[in-house]
Amino acid sequence: MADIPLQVISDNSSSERRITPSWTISQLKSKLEFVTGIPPSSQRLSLKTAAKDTIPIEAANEDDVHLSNFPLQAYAELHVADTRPAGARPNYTDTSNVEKYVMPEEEYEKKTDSVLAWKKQEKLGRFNPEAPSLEQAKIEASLQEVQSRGIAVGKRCRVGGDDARRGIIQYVGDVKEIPGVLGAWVGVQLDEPVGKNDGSIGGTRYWGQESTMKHGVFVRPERVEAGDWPALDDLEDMEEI
Amino acid sequence: MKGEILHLHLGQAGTQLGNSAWELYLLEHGLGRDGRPDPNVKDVVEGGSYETFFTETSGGKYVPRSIFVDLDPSPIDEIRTGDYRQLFHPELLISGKEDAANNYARGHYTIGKEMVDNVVDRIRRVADNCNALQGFLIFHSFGGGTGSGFGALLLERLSTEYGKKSKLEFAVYPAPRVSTAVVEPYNAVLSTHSTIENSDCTFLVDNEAVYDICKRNLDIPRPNYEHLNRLIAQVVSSITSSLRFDGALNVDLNEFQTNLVPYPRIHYPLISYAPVVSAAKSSHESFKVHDLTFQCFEPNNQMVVCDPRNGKYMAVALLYRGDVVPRDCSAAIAALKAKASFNLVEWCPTGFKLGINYQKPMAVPTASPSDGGLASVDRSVSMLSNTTAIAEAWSRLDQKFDLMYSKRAFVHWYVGEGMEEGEFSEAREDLAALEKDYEEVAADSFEPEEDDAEY
Amino acid sequence: MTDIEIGERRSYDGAICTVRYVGEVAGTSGSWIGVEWDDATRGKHDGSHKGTRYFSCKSKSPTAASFVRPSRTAEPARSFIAALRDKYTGDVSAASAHIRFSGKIAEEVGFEKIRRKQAELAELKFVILDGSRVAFPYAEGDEPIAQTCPKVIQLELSRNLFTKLGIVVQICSELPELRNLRLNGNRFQRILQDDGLENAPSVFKDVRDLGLEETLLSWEELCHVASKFPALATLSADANQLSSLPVTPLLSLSSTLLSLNLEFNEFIAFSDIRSLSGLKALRNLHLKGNNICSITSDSSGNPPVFPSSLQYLDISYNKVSSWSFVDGLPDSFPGLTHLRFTHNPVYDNPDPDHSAQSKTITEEAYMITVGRLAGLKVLNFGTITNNDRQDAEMFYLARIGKHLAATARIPKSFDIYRVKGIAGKLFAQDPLSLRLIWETGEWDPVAGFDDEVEDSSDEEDLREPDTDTPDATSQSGKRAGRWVKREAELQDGPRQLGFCVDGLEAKVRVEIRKDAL
Repeated sequence: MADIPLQVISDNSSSERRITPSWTISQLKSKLEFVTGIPPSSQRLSLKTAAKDTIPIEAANEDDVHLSNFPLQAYAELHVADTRPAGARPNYTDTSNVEKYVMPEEEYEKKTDSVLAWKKQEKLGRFNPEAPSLEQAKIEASLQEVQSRGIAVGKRCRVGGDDARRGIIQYVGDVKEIPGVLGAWVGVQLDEPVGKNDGSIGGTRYWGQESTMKHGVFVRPERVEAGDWPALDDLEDMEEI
Repeated sequence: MKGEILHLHLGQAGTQLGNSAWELYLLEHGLGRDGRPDPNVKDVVEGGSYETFFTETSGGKYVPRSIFVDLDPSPIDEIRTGDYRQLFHPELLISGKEDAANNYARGHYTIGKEMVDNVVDRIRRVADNCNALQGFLIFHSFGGGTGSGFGALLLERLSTEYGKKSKLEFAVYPAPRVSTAVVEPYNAVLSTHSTIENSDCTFLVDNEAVYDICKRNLDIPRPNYEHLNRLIAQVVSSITSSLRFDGALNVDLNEFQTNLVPYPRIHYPLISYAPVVSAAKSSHESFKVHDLTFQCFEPNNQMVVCDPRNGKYMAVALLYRGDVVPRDCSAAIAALKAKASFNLVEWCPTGFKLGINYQKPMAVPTASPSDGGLASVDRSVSMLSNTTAIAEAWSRLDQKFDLMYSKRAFVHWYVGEGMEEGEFSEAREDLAALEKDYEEVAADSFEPEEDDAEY
Repeated sequence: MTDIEIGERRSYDGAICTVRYVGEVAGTSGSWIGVEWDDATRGKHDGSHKGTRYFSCKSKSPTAASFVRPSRTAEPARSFIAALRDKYTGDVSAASAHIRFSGKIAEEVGFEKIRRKQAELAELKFVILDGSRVAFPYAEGDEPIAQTCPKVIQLELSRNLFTKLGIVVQICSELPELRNLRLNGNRFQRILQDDGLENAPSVFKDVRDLGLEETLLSWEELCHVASKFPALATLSADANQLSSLPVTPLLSLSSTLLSLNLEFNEFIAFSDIRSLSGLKALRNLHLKGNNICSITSDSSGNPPVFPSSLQYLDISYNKVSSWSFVDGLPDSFPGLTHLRFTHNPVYDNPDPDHSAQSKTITEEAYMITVGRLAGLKVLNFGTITNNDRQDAEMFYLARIGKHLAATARIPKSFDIYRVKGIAGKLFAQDPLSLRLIWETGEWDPVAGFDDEVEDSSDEEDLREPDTDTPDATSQSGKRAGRWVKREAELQDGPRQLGFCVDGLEAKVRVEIRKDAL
């Protein structure tokens, strides 16, 4: 008789297993010990069929009774209960109280086959004396962005992949009023007053004149798409009702 | 020709996965169940280069270059009597008499030791028949006894005898919520420790992630291993398609390592795949290259549960397949750049690559749509990314290991099979170092910044 | 403005529409084009503006239409050849500006090679020109299709600017290898009058798969088109706003069609698709995402009967809310062996009387469905094993039993014959074919002894056969060895019930006599 796939379920495990019907109950139990961690003497087996009938798998003489005596069916659940008192059942699932081993820094540093050792040896990342500092790298990356996107003062653009926000690039460069973020900023005078300012920020005017209308916005170069984006309201053609 | 590849399918999971993978390979190469070209599909299917995965016999039959090994006899017996019995070379189906009882030490020491010479011998015979063997694809689980123990043992031997050849693994990895066996964390930690030096690149697949994809995307209320394996096979096929057909990216086994692995220990890329659609679902959605690309960056399409948004990418390889034109790929990447804020670790020697494989993805045709198989789609994408986020999976595993090992639970089963207890702590140390390695990769590079800030 | 015609197909920023009106709109200045968008959520109204109707739409959606300015630039319509060349050989300079992530170029490996490969149009087997603004086969100077891409096996021309199906016939007439044609999301006009279809059967003689989803064609039109495909095995006609399928000539379809997709239409009952009973070879019928809630809704009241060739039915995501619907399936689908039935109210909540947690609900629904459909082999992608089936039937009977279980007030003074008479009525059985067994609910050591009896009353409980019996073994093997459930059969006779049973309430199991079966 061919093997039958069963779902073996216990407190600590759950998996599809192939069961050979010619096994005795004792043989099954000894195999299940390695799956569930429950010693055979403390296992109580029951077969739970899809109809939610529970059929116990047990016999007076488990060494002689074969599994073929039970209605095994593909993908039925074989539940393995632990008959030991709750306090005597070891916990193998709840990791909340276990202290996880973390390798101490000094020990990691001693290793020769580690990413750290490799970085040191190859002078990578922070071990590269010539590498620009993180700050510099950031600034360079943003300048590269400006260049590759063709961002330049006077060009038309769209902002943030949003077709409705179009405008004209008025400023490219550092904005020291914006805290914490390095690299170039792009100042855009939007066609509609849907920005954040009027071209000045933190008391410094980067373009234009004072206004109550918020046509101005500073964004990262990644979000600016320079190109032929005419002002939307110029296009009566785009009107739709 | 780039050289032959030998598949090794170890243990129950490796064997079942092998069955599904070869079923799909046959279809993609226009071969019947007996390995002979199927005359009905000749003009639809482009055969590709058979010789990488198959050996051609004088009778015009293509025999998979693969070896199946299980210490437990019955899974191999099933192949010997199953639908594909005429396909595989009988000498390359190897079974033991006694299973490994979910015990790494049985697979690695006692029982495994008795079998390994025989297996290595058969491998040698296959290798001797090759013009230029490029390497091995090893399918196994990290949780089972044969998969973890014998897998590690065999990799050690391959390393000695075929040191220069590539060794890639597809490994079923312990799922985050439910263990398949109580000692799974031990097996996985021990196996990772002893294979980490011997494998060039390991693709992890966690059954829970795949199970969830089957439920969610294929709408199969009660997925079983067959459903899971069919999906994994699709993913394996897409990753290996450049090896078998006229692709451009990852055309030989070496390239996977070059493109994805910056430092030998950090060789566990994450796989994402799109689209996953049921054959019973008709094609309302049109799968645009752009959408498929973005889907690959969603955790729902990953083969391992982890969150790449919390990590940094060392390498990304996007493998497009089917009706995909270069222009659409470039546009998708441009859109990705505009929308997603993710950073590559800039000092890593690896980077971002994309390639197209012209050959259309296939799905195992189902006799009836009711099989819940995958739909045949015009195009698909698989993404291989080496991200530090996968360290989440190692951390979970290590924690489970610690929970048990702090009580010395079941350690006697391993010692009883001749393993030294010291191997436990040695392995665990190594995994702790691996976690540190990932930390170190992420250490000095940009924090992904709030790119959408406006002032 | 002069060259805009009603019925013309236009594309504005990639959104495709059909021109339905040209002229003025009250309360506005200038002239307008009234359009119906293919994407019915794209517009602002249904063709009327401020109370005046200017045109009406094919789509039933309230937001399929807009007015746009005639001066607005539409993307030009293209020839098949132009679209083909653009996609597979188009120049790439525009898009392939080097994109960088963290300073690293996203490296396009082997794109040149794939470009060269795809540019060999004569070798193309799969051609997908979805949303490519194709309106005609050729423009001036285009080379013949037959010489450009003669090997095409599968062609997708979905969401294009065709007005007539005849144009597609013209294109395909040069593709002798064609097996699979997808025309989803087009808006073909005047299908029944289109004389371009005349030689279609010879053009489409080898095509086995046809997609006509989201075309808003009527069933007559769909069949008119499909029957021009003499070897058609699979037809997809999803999302066409179909609410019933009138009888229409099926011609060759009745013997060739194996699979029919009618997902996301508007059927409410199988009687709406009664006319499909003429498809004598049909094997798979996909009706996912309709509003089906009953077998029959028409006045005849007769359930439709589909050919016994039909094995697979997908009615997931419908509105089935009662199990009697499932009971009716075998009569309407005598050959049904494979069913998909998830996401219906009754499947999601199989038994409101037995509220259970969500995990068991799927199990329950599975069991009940399997139990009710004796011929079913596969349900929701899972194969039903013999054991599954036995189980399900047991479960189902038990569940039915619980529903039938009746509490009957039976005066103690009634004799057993009368009690049997009542039970017979309750369960619609011949009274004398029944056995009545009093379940005391107590366990006796094997020897047995009399319990003390409490006050008796008039109320007794009648119960149908249940699955309680296996309990005797499931309690505990050891216990079952030494103890037995105390039960007593109520023998036929004129004895009063009160003499036979004890207790305030008594459980009496009703069994059918073995010899009566």
